Amino acid sequence: MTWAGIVSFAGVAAAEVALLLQSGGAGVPSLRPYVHVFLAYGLAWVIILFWVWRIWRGLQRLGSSD
Amino acid sequence: METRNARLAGLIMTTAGVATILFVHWMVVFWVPTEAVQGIVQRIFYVHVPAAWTTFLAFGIVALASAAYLWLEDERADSAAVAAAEGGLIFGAIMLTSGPLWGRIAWGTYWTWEPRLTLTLLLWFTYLGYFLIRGSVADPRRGKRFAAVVAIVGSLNIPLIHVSVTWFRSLHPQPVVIKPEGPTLHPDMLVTLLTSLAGFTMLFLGLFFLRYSIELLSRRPRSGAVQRASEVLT
Repeated sequence: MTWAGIVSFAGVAAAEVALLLQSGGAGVPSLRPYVHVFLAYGLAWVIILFWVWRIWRGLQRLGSSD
Repeated sequence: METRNARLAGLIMTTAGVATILFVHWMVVFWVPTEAVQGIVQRIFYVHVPAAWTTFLAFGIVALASAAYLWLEDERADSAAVAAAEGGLIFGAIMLTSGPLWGRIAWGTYWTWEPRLTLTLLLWFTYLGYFLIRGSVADPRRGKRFAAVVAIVGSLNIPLIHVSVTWFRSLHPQPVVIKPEGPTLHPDMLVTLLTSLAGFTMLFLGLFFLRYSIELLSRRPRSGAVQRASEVLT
């Protein structure tokens, strides 16, 4: 990327920030929905892995007795 | 031999279920379109609905196996009921944690005492009670029979939960898949949902078979190792 490109990019970014500040922050996407989606899927895996761990522990204890 | 088959089936189905769910994660992140009104948080749909379906499937199996136990007094039926009840509580916990996370963004609250939420929580606690009753009666045979009755009565709640959104005023949306005129979901969303449903069902059945095999072994005449495994799981 040339210096002219970098300056242009910085200029556009500055203009975007100025526009957002003028609008009082409206239109800024919130990260909260992403956090909730991540938590929902993460907790699902934690809960499933808890059951897997319990079953694995039971199988380990049974050993070769079957 | 029966336990070996159950264990093999369990391992195969669990592996297939995990692989399918990992593929669903890719679909949810990179492939499925974003819902126009709710935005990104609607993607919780692909874990919440399959978890709910699996919970109802599990508790349905508990009720059927419990009825079989009351009728035949076959320990295998009771073993299946215990394994399915444990799975129902696990997938029910996923449903009851993913729902509020979605609701906080979509409805502005984690929880509200609307009919479907209330009935679903009641269902979960009913099957928690299933385990408490088993352990609270001195005579194990009577405990199993009492718990079987609780499981059968508790399962009557499942169809009520399904129709609760049409019978009562509810924050939950109307059905978008099981409708007389067919699904009204975007085709890509429907494909993602059905893939997730398949993955969750396979995962549940796989872990159910593994848990069932342990339960069967733990009820055989006890050697030291089996006794210890039984103690771990109770």
